[in-house]
Amino acid sequence: MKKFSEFIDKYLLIIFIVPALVLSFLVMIYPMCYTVYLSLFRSLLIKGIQFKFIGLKNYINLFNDKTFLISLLNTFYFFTLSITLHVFIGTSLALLIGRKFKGENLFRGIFILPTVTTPVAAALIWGTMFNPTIGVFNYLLNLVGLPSSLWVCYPSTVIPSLVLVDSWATIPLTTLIIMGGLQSIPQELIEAAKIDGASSFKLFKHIQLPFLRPVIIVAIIFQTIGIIRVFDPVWVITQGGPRYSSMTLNLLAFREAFIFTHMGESAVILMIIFLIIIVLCGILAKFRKVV
Amino acid sequence: MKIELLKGKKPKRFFKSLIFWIALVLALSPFLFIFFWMVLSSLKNQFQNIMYPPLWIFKPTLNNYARVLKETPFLKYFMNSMIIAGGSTLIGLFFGIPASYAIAQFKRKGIALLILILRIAPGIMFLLPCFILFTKLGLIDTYFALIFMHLAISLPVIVWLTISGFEEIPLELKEAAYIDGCSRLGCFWLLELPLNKAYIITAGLISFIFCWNYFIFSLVLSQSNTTTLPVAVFNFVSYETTEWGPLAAASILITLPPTILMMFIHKGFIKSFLTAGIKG
Repeated sequence: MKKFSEFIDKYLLIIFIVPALVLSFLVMIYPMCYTVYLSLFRSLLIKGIQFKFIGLKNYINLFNDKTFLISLLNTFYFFTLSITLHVFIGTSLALLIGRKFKGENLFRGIFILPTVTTPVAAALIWGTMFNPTIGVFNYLLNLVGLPSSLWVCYPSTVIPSLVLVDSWATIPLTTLIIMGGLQSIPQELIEAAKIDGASSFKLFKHIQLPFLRPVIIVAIIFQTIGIIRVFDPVWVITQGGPRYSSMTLNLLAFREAFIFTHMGESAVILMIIFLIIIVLCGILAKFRKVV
Repeated sequence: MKIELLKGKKPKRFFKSLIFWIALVLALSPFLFIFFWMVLSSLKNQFQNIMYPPLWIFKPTLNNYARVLKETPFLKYFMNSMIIAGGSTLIGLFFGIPASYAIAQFKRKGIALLILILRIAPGIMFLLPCFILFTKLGLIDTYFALIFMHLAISLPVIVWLTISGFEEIPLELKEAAYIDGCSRLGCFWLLELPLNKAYIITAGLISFIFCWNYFIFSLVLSQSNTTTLPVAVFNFVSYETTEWGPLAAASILITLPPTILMMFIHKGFIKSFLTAGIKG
């Protein structure tokens, strides 16, 4: 018995970690490798799905595909808009909510509710609110004297509208991460600056911002991962339309695979998404160390 | 001395805090407005819902909720979501907790990093091969396939959220246990697991919420048997002429479980994201 428990103790690391590794291999690593493999095939719908080896043809075809290029541009547009919004609103909200006040915990608890709201449910409601003729958003716009907008029904406003939907759910997280950075600033520094008569703006610019920069970049990395993969709100509200004006890479990959059964093309797009995320995060992570 | 200082500034302080509260309410109202509108639409009848300008004051009706619960197999969808999110969370805990203990104990952060990088990939990347495999094996529309697939969400979440708990346990405590003749396994079971109860419960509930909310896997892998709530409500929109009332009611019913769970764990949830930036 003694020997048995000694044996277990000796190999505890392996015994504990291997099952989880095997499981992540089955659920994640193996499918990923298989996706790479799939990208070399054309799928044919003969007696179920058949595959035909075509080498790198999928890759070449993709870059001649107009829809793909549009989706690529749309994805970057999504990314830029969303990150800008996140940095500005996230930081301002963090400065506001990060203070100590009565009932702060309850307040923060309510504030993060959008994060755990089922995205499909939220997107459906947003969809009804966007309605150009009877939606509440246009009513509110008119109320303050602004002209009505077509929101998700018009090519040039559809992506900003969808960014709003996504940001509603994700900005609370960005705010929390930045708030964590605020709280890690030594209190003495702030006190000292206040005694020296620094204004709130100067305090922010010279003391809080330098401390916050790395944390903001982490928040951006989180959001980058999320926004490049954005799916739920777009699929629920517009399905990529009108025409292709809100088609993103992830949506295109989904459409190719599960509507047109072009598994190979979809696999290539998925790998490109993965690559984009890794490159963007790599750049951002470098940025964090330098600055 | 300090008290005197504060006294002198009292009117100014009051004014400042008033501005602060107004700013707070203004900043948070867009976030809450969506919920407010959700509830409002769910209490209106179809006619009131399509009135323009929108109605703000009206006689509320619970009819929409009754319709959702009676006319659709809502309970079945609810149970499906429960089984799938619950199942993959339990399996994720069973495999993830020992792994996260081992990562903390033996300082193998590399393994944790690997799991995190996997999590960055778009969900469809895992889904696509599994879809082909499950089709061949005839496993589409089974709980097994869906629970298996959602492990791609629950496992990384659980491992990542519990590591710091195991790291926080003071070394002296463990050493004391070893000296008393406790084996490592015994120490894990009798000491570290109970000490980390809060972390583990939080991680489990967060994983449950994420699986509950996740859409794509169920959209592809489930048909009539295993339809989860998000997919059910999505179909509800596509196939019927959209009625906003029942739609809003269904949306609220779906969102209720994650929201209620959040009430219990929001401190842990906030804490894990507050530290995310500093640690990462």
